[in-house]
Amino acid sequence: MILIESRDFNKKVKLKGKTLEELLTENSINSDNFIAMRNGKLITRDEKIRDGDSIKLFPVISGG
Amino acid sequence: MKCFKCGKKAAIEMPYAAKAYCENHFMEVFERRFKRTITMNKLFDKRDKVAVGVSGGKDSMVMLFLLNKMGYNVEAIIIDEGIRGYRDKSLPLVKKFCAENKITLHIYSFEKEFKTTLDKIVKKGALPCSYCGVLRRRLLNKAARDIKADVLAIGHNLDDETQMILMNLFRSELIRLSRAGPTVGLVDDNKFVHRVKPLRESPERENVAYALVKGVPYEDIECPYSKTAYRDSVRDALNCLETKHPGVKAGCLHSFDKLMPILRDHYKKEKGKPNECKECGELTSGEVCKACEMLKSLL
Repeated sequence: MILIESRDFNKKVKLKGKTLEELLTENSINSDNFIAMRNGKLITRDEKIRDGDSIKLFPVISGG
Repeated sequence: MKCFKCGKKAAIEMPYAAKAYCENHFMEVFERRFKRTITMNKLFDKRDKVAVGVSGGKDSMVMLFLLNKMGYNVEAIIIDEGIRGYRDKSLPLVKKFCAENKITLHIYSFEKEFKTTLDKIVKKGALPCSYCGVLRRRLLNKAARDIKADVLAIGHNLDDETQMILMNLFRSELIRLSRAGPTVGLVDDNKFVHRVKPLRESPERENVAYALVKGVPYEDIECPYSKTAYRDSVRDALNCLETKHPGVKAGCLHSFDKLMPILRDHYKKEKGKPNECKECGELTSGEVCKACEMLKSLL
């Protein structure tokens, strides 16, 4: 199980994809709209995600 | 994916440059581009007093952080428009950041200056973004002038700039476009403080990444009045193009920068000397400035 957190949602997903990009795509999340961090470190879209990882997503577009 | 400079694991991609960087080299590249925008465009130097317009959002906070870090003579200005649940959240964040970093902060409010708030303006049925844009610009200019700033730095990023360029092109607003650029405005008058944009070459995605890596605090709650349907369409189209053809935003900005002197030269002929508004004395092309016109319409 992987925890994906964002400003607008917080969900646990099963590990189906191998990379961040695949994981987000499978969960209908457009990776262009977010910067992703794992344990406080930026990660790229091709980063392999492991079971138990907690991914935080930060929106790119500001709402001002 | 590996860092282009050191070969370590990459933290961020820059598809438009066909490169990726680790956190350390990303910060180096980001800061160098920021500094280059300032020096190449001669926006200001260390002798100038730079008023920094902040909102508490990622762009203005990164800009304030960097200018302060690089040793520029900065003072921050925040405008309290009077939007409940929005500005009252970012104000404490900006105050705390400025106090911790020993940056002088000036707070100007619609309430004090215009005897109204954006909440009240909206209740009267006015379009929030139009009124807010005009009144905010007016107040930022006044605040920068009050503190005797040489320039007013605003946090427009690459995405804002390219959206603005395309929106003005699509609407045939070439006069307006001719006033855009790294330094905003064609008017040379001591009542007008030139606005400068040190972040105009930084994609907003990278501003978020930089804020996260450096721990720059920012507020990302949405303005309750934010309804920018046209801008949203242009943004979506640009983002779609950028994903498919990385580099279109930078290309758009660089093309505009090459056209800008021609546009400015052309429309200089049409630009008369500005008048002083007969209501408030601020600069205007007509008899009464837009801010006074808008405020009057609310009575």
